[in-house]
Amino acid sequence: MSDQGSKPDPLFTVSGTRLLAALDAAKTAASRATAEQRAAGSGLSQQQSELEAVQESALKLATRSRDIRNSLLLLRESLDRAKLSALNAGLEGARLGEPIGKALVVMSDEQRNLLARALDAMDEHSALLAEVDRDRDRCSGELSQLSERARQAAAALTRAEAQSQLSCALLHEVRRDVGQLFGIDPEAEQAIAEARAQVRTAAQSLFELTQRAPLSAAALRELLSPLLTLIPNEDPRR
Amino acid sequence: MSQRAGLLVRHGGRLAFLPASVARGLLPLPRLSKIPWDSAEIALVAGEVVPVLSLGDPSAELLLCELDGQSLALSGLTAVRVGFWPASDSGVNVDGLNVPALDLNAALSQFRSAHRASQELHHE
Repeated sequence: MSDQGSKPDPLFTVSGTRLLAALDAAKTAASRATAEQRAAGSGLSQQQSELEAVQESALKLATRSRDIRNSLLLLRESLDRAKLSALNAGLEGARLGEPIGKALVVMSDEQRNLLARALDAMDEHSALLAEVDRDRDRCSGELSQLSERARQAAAALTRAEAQSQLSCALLHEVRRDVGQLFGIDPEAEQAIAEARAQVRTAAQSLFELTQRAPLSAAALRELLSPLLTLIPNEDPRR
Repeated sequence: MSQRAGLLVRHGGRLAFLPASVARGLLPLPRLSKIPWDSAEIALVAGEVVPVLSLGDPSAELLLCELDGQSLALSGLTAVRVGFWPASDSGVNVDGLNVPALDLNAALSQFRSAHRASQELHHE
């Protein structure tokens, strides 16, 4: 650090400038990280919404599955009754005796066989439906877990974003303090840099003009010389 | 060999035969009501109160019978087949297998003795 009242050590000023540049880079990186985290958080929120939609579909599927089960129960009841009707028809035939009732008994037996096959097929359907229900329940559970994890990740990203914003603010403060410490006013430096750029542009334009109008070159050179002195390392002869 | 017409039922895991003259019809198991202070059960079938004789674990159907001119329902049975089969000493011969006839009189006697016992217990 320079002593008070004396001119600052150029090496010291260069170090300060480098430190400020590093702080600027760190601040930019932190800002980018904040933006990336925000984008990731938004993506996760969307994913969570999609997962919730899928969960809702799974719930609707459960309702439909229940409806199918109820229909199957109704069907089973109807088949059971039809089986009893077939047996009753057979009993009527049996009471009539052979040969009159034989046809009725045979018919009822055929009917009973068909109904027994239908009942077996329905039992198979019920078993398959139960299996589908188990798979659906498992998927639903996994979806809930995924949704919960997405929610936790989104919350973690929100917290990380807040931390990044805080880091940005702290870096800004540190940069300001370092600037003051090294006697560098970042705002003034930026204004000077902008002014230099403006002067350089003006000088360039005037130089081009001298090329087009060689007679007035001397007069213009006189005009340019004081301007060029404002730009360090700039050749006034140009 | 003479043929017997009737109904094959599953009773306690075994097959039994009921002649068509006794078995009148099958219906889904209706609501059964117990008679107070008695072991008997009754059911309302086509507007008629019918005593129900339970022969085993409840099944989904009730078999309506007629025994000695009286209506009687049997529960705890599952109807399997109706047909004509060759008569055997104890029942019928179904595909080479002897299926005994269901002894309704014995079941009824058992029911009556249980009924009597519960009546006596009530009077004591």
